[in-house]
Amino acid sequence: MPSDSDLALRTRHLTKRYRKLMAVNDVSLDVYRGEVFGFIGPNGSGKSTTIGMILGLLKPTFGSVELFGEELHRAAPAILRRVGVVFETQAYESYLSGKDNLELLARIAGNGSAERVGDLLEQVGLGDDADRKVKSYSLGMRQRLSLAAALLNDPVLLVLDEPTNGLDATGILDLRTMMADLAQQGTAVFLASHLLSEVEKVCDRLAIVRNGSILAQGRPSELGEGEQAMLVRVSEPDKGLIAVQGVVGAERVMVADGRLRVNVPQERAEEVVAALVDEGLYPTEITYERNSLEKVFREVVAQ
Amino acid sequence: MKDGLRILSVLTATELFKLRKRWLPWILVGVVVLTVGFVYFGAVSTYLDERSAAAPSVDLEVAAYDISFPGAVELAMTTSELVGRLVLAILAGVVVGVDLGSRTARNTLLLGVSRAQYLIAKLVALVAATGVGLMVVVLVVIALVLVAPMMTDLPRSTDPVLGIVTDSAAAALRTGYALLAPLFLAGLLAVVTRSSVWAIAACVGYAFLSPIFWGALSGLNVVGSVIRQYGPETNLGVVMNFHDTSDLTGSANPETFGLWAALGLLSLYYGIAVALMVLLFKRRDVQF
Repeated sequence: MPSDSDLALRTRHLTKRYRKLMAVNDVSLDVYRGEVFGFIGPNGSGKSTTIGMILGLLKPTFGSVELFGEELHRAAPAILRRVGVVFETQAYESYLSGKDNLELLARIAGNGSAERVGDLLEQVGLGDDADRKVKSYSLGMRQRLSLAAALLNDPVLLVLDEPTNGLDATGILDLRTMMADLAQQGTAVFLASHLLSEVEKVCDRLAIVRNGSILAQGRPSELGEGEQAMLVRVSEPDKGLIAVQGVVGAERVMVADGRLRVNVPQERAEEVVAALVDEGLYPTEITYERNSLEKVFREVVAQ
Repeated sequence: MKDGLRILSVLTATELFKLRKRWLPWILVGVVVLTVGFVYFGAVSTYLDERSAAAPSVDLEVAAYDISFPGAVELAMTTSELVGRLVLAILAGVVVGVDLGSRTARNTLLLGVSRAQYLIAKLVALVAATGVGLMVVVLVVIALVLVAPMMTDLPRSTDPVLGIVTDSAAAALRTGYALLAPLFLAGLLAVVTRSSVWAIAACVGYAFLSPIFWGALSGLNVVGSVIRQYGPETNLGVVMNFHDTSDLTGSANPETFGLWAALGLLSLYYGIAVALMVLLFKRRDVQF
């Protein structure tokens, strides 16, 4: 486990409520330098809202965000210069060229040499289109421009919200390589996506989110492969869920397809069954299945 | 502190660069210059008509004043103030509102810029742009006043040059100060609505409806008259219609203040508008 000095991002009980809608609910997570952290969930699950709070653009209803050990709302705005961001939707001055846009941002950031801007545009594959107006850019080109802007400050924390949006196959591969390289150099990468295939290929740890809440969090191997799931059919799965949670912990049990899915080794089956019987629930079917991350994701988000 | 000032100056330069690269500010400056030109030639035409009339219906001396220095500059400034209310509502609405509505504000805020710095830089850039716009208008008027007598027989000013320069500069400064009102109002509304369209619509609506509103208020009762006296429109009128030093501390009209009091009140309103703008922007979510 990395030490606290390696901590790039920490959220505690992060919550955002819009009147009756709970957009983000009690999200607590840690992201360390040198790792790629996946934040995965279906569209509308609160990923972007969480990112908005992490970056100080949205005010949390409750909870806190720490960047590099400092509470965001107490820290000077300059702390954000150590963060690079690629948003899902791109917003640039469309009447200016990509180069002009990047130069303006670089000047504000205080590292605006023309050489550096040129290098970044080359790095993301926009060297030949640098002088074209952004309004003539394709979605993928805008995404590449965002990537260049995110790298302006040599970020210690890189936040990516659906970064492959609009990228072609080469762009996606380049992005994956870049994320791995940056993590290797000590950058913390926070990758939010609704595509499991995108996340599982590069992430060291991940959190699965749905309806604003984190449903599962850990290393891909902990969440999926290498562990067995016990599938138990009972007459009242919701009642059974509470009973089994008391024995194995809330994070290891869920209701999926009308059955209880309990992520415990076969040796603990007796404990699980005993807990159910104590509540008057007699299993009508018990099967075992090896988990895969995809299966876990599908079942968690389908709940 | 040093970094704060660096950011503020870079942000202001950035906003001015963006303004320069947009079509809209140039179109708006063109609209003001054209309007000022039309008004000047209207005044010239009136003067020529009245001069040739057997019984002039207007004071020829006043008509001549409006087409020579410094009267022509003062007339242009009065025109600019009226047109500028609409022009600056559009410009301020766009400069503040578009960035908030189109999500480009986030790009800047994520570079270690405080929300107060972000807004203040926009306002400083708008004030600078207003100043440049007024300078363009003054230069155009100077050209018109110098060129027009070459085409037809028009009176030339006999005032001393220094007096002409100071009177013209004072008129431009007064106009610039009065034009801060639509600028701050549009900026505030853009922050409130996070939309340039709504901010512009509300400001333009106010520009057209305010004479009716403030007029009706003063006709209501004594309290209405007092509110009108302290209201922005009356005090903007005091600033724009200032003519001689006897109006500095008092006014011949008991329903209006002297220039200093009017400037003080307007400064208070401007301060409140800017403070509200910054406070609201700091407390609210930014669209991203």
